[in-house]
Amino acid sequence: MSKTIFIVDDSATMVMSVKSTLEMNDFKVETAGDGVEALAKIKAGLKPDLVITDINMPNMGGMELIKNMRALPGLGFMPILTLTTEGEAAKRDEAKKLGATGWLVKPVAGPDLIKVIKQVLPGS
Amino acid sequence: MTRLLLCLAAAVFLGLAFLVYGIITQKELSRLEESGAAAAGNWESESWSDVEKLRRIAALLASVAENDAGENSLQTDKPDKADVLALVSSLIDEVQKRKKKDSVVTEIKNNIKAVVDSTPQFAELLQAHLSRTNATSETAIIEIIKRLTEVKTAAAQLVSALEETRNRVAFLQGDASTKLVESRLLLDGLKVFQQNLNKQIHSAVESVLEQVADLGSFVVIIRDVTSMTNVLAINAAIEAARAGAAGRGFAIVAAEVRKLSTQVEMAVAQIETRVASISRTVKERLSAISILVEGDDEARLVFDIAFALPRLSGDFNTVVEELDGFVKETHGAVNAILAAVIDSLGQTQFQDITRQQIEQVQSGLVMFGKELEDIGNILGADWSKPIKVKTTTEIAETLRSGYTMLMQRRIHNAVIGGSPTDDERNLPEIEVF
Repeated sequence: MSKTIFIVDDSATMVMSVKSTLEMNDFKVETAGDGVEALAKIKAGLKPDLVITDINMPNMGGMELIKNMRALPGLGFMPILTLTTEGEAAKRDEAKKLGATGWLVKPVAGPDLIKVIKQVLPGS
Repeated sequence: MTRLLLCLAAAVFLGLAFLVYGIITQKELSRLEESGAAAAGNWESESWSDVEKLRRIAALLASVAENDAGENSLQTDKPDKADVLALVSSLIDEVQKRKKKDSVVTEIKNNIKAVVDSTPQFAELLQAHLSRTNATSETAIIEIIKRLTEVKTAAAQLVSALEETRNRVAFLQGDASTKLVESRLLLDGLKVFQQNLNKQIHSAVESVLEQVADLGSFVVIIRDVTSMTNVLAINAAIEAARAGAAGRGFAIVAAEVRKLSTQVEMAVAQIETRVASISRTVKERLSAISILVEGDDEARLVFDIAFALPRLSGDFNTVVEELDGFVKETHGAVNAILAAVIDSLGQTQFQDITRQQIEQVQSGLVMFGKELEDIGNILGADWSKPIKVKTTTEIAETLRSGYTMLMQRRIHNAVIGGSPTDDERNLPEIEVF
């Protein structure tokens, strides 16, 4: 069965680009435009196998989203990757502390993204 | 950029206006100085302040008025000492106010000068950010074009492979069809040969049977002759008996003839039996040969077909191998196309990066515009109040706090100055914790 990946980013082109890459590699994809929308979908029943989130987003950024998701029951071990333009080490350290599984700086080549996903997502 | 030029022009105009005002003010003071200069001597050489000069003028006027009052005590329309002092006092107040305004003007001028002086560097910073944005976009577009070119090449190779395989399959199909037609002709030929051979065999069999049948008629003739000979022998025996002793020799000959006739009849019977047997045997054997010939023909047919089949099988194996190679080549080409498309999609991420870069430049321009607006408001307001304007250097530092990318900080340090902090060290771009 295909694995489901949840992309959270306020940039429409980023979402389209990553979604197309993942679907070409036989992943199922769900999307959200910011942390608020993402959290609402999770609470409504969406059960992704992996989340890829941006950091700088309106309404609710990536850091807060990671913190909120880790607090939900059953999501303590779900892989969460950050995909961001952020270059500050402090932000990276903060994401790691909040429970992120990996840190990717844009732009990320398609093959590299797939390689990381297969590394953190068992059975993919 | 147009807005920036207009602000610079406004600043230059204001500077000129203040300069002219200063010149006029100085001219007024000079005029006052000249009116008392004759009595006071060469005031240019004295280091008195403007206020001090006015005080001295006032003292002179007072003494003049005192002298005048002493000489023309009956002229009541001339101003007395108190009026002159009041007039001069108001003049002094006016000058003091103007001096204060001068100070404010100087401060404003200095502030505007600071803004104007720092603007080129701020413009350079924004220009550097925009240049980087342009470079980012250009690089990404070039990469996308390269990948699309690879897609085009792979697609062309795929089409070429398809055509080549189609031609090859058509050739093999034609070759196989030819071989099948040849086999069919062979079969037809053999069939005809078989039919002809069968006819010949039957004809031969018929001929042999006719000859055997003819043998039977000879046997009948011989039997008839034998029968007649036997009858003659009997008749001879009877006549011999009639002849008595003279016929004794004749009776012996007749008896021998009868024996001979009996032997011939026995031989004829054997011949008849043998002929019948031969006839039967010939029929059976010829029939067997005929079947054997037919069976042999079919065996040859099977042999030829079996011989042709491996050739056909070989051709089809070749077709399968060709198709297998084609599938592998197609697979490779499709994979190449897929990889190029995925790579191109990755390059489109540049749009998000350039968006953030341009947003920072927009933010800088908004802040700069706000500062100019504030300066304009100050210039139109009460100049007696203290003023504070931000320089573009200060605006640039505000921008720095909004940067998200390492590249932005590096550009800032290169243009404005500053050294990398610990947070600006080279971190890996892909990291799994």
